Amino acid sequence: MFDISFLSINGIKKRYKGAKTACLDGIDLELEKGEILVLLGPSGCGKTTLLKIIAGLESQDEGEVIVDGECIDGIATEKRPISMVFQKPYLFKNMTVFQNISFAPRINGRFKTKEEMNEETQKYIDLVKLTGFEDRSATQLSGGQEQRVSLARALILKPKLLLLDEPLSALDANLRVEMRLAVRDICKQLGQTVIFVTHDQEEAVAIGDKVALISEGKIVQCSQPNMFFKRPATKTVARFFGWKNFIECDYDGNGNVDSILGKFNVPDCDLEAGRKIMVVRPESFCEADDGIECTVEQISYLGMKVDYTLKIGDQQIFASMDPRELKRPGDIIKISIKGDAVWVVDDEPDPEPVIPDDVKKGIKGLLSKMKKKE
Amino acid sequence: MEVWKKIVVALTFAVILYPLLILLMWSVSEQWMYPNLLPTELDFSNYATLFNTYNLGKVIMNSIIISAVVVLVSMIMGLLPSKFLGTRKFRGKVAAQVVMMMPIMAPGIVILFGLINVFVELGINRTYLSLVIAEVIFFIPYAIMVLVPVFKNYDVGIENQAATLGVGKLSTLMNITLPSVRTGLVVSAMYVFMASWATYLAVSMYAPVGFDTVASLLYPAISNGQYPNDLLASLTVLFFVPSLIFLFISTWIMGTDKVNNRGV
Amino acid sequence: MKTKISESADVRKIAVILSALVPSLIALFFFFWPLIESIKESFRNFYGDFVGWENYIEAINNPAFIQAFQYTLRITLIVLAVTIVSSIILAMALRRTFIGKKITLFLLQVDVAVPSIACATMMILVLSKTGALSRLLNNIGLLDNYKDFPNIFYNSNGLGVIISVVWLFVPYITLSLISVLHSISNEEEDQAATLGVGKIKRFIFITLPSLKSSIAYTSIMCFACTFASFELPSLVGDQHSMVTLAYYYYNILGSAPRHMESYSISIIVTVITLAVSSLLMYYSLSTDEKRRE
Repeated sequence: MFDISFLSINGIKKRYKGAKTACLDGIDLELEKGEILVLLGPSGCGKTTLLKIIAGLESQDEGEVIVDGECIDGIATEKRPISMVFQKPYLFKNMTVFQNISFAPRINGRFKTKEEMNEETQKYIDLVKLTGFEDRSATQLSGGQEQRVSLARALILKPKLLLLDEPLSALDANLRVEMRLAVRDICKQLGQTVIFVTHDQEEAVAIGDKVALISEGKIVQCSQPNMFFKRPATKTVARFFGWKNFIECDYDGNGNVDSILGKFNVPDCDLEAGRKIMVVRPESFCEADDGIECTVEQISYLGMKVDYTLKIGDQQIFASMDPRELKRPGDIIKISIKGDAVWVVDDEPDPEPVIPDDVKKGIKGLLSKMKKKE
Repeated sequence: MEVWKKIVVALTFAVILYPLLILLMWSVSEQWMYPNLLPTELDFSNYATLFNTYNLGKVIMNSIIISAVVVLVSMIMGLLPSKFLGTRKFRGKVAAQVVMMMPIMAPGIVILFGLINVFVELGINRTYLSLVIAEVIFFIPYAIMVLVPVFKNYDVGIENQAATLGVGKLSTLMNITLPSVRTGLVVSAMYVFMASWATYLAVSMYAPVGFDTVASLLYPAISNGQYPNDLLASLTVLFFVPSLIFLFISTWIMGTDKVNNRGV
Repeated sequence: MKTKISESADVRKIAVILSALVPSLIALFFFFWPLIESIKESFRNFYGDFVGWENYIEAINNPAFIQAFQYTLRITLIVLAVTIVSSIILAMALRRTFIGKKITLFLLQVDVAVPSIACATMMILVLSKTGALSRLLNNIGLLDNYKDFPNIFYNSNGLGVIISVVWLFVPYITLSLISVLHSISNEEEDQAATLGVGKIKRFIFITLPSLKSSIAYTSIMCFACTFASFELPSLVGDQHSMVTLAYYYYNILGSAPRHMESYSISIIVTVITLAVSSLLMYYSLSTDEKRRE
């Protein structure tokens, strides 16, 4: 007996002409029906390209995409069992909200009667909380309203797979938070299988059942959201998810870690023995009378908590704590780590800072820019 | 507003309106001797005379039908190339556009005379087909001229969106692309119509024998000097009233477009 | 390694490109074929033998041709100069909002709607010796006898053509310039004003460059209409002593001994017109593209 996932992405590779590195370098993903998968990663990491490949707007060099047992490669976009919401709402400006939502199914003969069309469309308008906006022209909506129409327009098609390409990125902060909850609720309510792309880590863990972090064309970690905060797979993942402390340590291969902060137990770790990096979250520290002594270097008082930069030996420690008393720079503080809140990862070279090309070219670049302006 | 600007505006009104006014007055005059500033006798029957003598009703119909057909064909043939040039980037794009616009830039008379052999060889000389072809060659560039800038503001992403919603290519074209470039379509239709309406040579050379448009009547009328001024004026007025009507209609359409913020 | 998927996607891409261009290719076919035929004929004599540049040499050496060429060139340059300058002045005068702006712009559009043949009629009615202008001057007392009114049409000045083309094209170019002026922001000009740059200098160094492309583009139509046109100059230009090139061509087309010459003349006119217009258009479009980047 073997488990066939609803969505299977196998070995997708893509390299753009003239590019030094591959955009996607072997992507494998599985998704169950009704699951929400979030593709997370910094700009340019290839997540939007992957989505476009699934949608059929781009084609892969290698690999296949299988949806509900059917390989959809080579099928034209409009015939694929998917629908997509883009970062720009792309509403049909010559239509009303109602017409926008009912257009695609109507054109494809989904509705047998006019009543059916009205009923179905109304259902989805209500679902995205746009009741009363049916006859509003698509040109007279706010950003959030536009995206809701775009979402309803995609959902009404009841696609096997819904693709969302950073749909909330263009909205302002408060609206984003509000909308992300709405999106998740609606999709869960409908049992819709979703792939959601974002570069916002907070958004990713709020929305997804599963999160796949993509970096340099590969999936670095794919797991439930909480695992990124407990068991980051690599130093890159840890860095991306705000694990600020990277402490050299010795790992014995059997779950025992030895570091400047003391000895710890990591029973689930399956790395080999050797010199590793121990990662600790800033929130995992607390003041303890029997803890390790550190010197306070810097303090940021944030009301509900205090961010400390501490020093022990040559090692800097970033701790975010509830202070019993507020310390000052130069004070000594004793800290310990709550529970098993450490993890171990392999060491990796630090990424090079990215320098934009025209800065690199220096004066030449400035001059050519000035010439262009004329 | 500064004085010089006021003078300029006044001059503009005078220079444009004066000839139009004179034309209008001549068209309804019976007798207008030198050096009177106004006609001594008015006569609205000039128009009736024209209709009766020259079967003008039919001629006007001919003009309308041919122009309408030419507009349709030019727009259909000009739409996709314009979209291509307006939405894509590639090397040699400017050169391609220049080549496509060459028919307007060349002397029409040369091409028209050259077409005789072509049509004879194809066996379609002096048919409606040869007439339409002879006009369309020169007017597709008009459509391209207007539509390319419009398409430069068009985001092709909306077609990708439509595709991901399962909408087929033809439906996308009819329901999404065309409405969003509505303004451009109206303006280019207007230009092509007016240009076609004013075309004389193509009609006299390639229309079926005996087929006349208003332009093909008017040109010899002016150059031969056989018409008296008043009839000539009436014919001229009749000649360009449809252009004006078209202008009014398209201004109205574009006006409402602006109000509804469509196609912008 | 390219899979079948990316290959079929490539094929689809090529198909899309072709289908977009086919209509244009068909139209261009009917444009270039006559042209090529004319070029071929221009190198032959009446009996179909290849004679090289003979026709061209004969055509160019003909004093009538030279005269027609000079006449046409002179008129065209005058027209272009007058039209462009007038349009710029008019556009600058009308760009800001003022009472009656909408009507004025509408009036310009009405002018654009007037076909050239209709313009010919109007000019004849207004500017001929017994025309409306002559009557006006007579009534004011500035003109005693209609015979004293300057000869606008049957005169080697080409004034009739110049006035007609200017009347037709200034509103068209002006409208185009106004729309450019509307779409560019005033910030650069305002900035220069605060730095003490005078009005005229501001106009020359800031406003005018942004209009370059539009001026080039619209002048093409104006140029083509004057240099290569047949209808208008034949109606309001002098038909006897001076003719424009196109009309010259038309005249000798019918005469058997000079029939072959007509091919070469037609090619000369075409090549010049196409070359100038293409260059102008290329310049205009490239400037636009650069600005977009």
